[in-house]
Amino acid sequence: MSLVELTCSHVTESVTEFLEGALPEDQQLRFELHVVYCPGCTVFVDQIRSMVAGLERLPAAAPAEAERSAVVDAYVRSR
Amino acid sequence: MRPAMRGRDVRPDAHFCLTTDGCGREGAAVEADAGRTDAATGAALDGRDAHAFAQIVDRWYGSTVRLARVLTHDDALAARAARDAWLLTIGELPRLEGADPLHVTLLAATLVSAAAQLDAVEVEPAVDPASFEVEGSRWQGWWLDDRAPSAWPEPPAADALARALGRLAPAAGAVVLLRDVEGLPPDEVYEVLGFEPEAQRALLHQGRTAIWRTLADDEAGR
Repeated sequence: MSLVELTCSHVTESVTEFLEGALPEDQQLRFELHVVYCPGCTVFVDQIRSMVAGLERLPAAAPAEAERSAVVDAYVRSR
Repeated sequence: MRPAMRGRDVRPDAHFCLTTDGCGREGAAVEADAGRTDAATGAALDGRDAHAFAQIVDRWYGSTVRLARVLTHDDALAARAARDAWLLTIGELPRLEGADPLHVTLLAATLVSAAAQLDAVEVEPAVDPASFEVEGSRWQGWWLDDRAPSAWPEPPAADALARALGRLAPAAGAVVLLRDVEGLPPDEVYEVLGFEPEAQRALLHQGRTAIWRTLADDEAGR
């Protein structure tokens, strides 16, 4: 697959493999080259990266105080 | 993909149990049952006794279909999910000795399989195909000028991400949650959900791009 044959549609379908470093080396390079020259794909990949970073920053789901106490108390009683 | 086979927290004296009422009861009757069911299940696990395995099928196959039906709300999907769960579990039988009761393993496999069936029918392209030049065009597969993504004015807000995450199909949602939100590495996600790395990556892609579509639609006011 040449640079031209790697279309924007291909980029959108392989973006996760690219970000995970799971593409074969030659495809990884073609992906990078395509993105450099394609403004739409540059935006798309940046948005996916930004979105994943946002997911990683979502706050931890803290338990309600009653749930927390019930579990911690059960642990203490079990010892 | 393989079903989640949970064998880590197993008591050394764990017994396989074929019947719901035989598990957890006390007394001599249970001991007698345990001897009988352990022998039957052990024989089935060793691949030596088709009759013993047939007993397990008779007791639990319908249960797995019923569980899959509750999860998928679709008879055909449920039938496929249950069948896949059994076939995958049968493939793991030689490695299951000493693990959870077999019906627990089968039900867990059904859960994973049903989720995969649901996602399988809901897979969408990462981006609406109408966003790209059509077949016959010299630039087939490239963005249409007026459909290429525009930069977002700000990074996506946490509440928008959480909402989009909550709308994902079950398996994709579970993988995105554990990988991206909770930060688990692929091997731990495999232990929890039973998805091999390749299947996990496919589900991660489905989930992430579904969230992207939701955010892009929100941004465009659709």
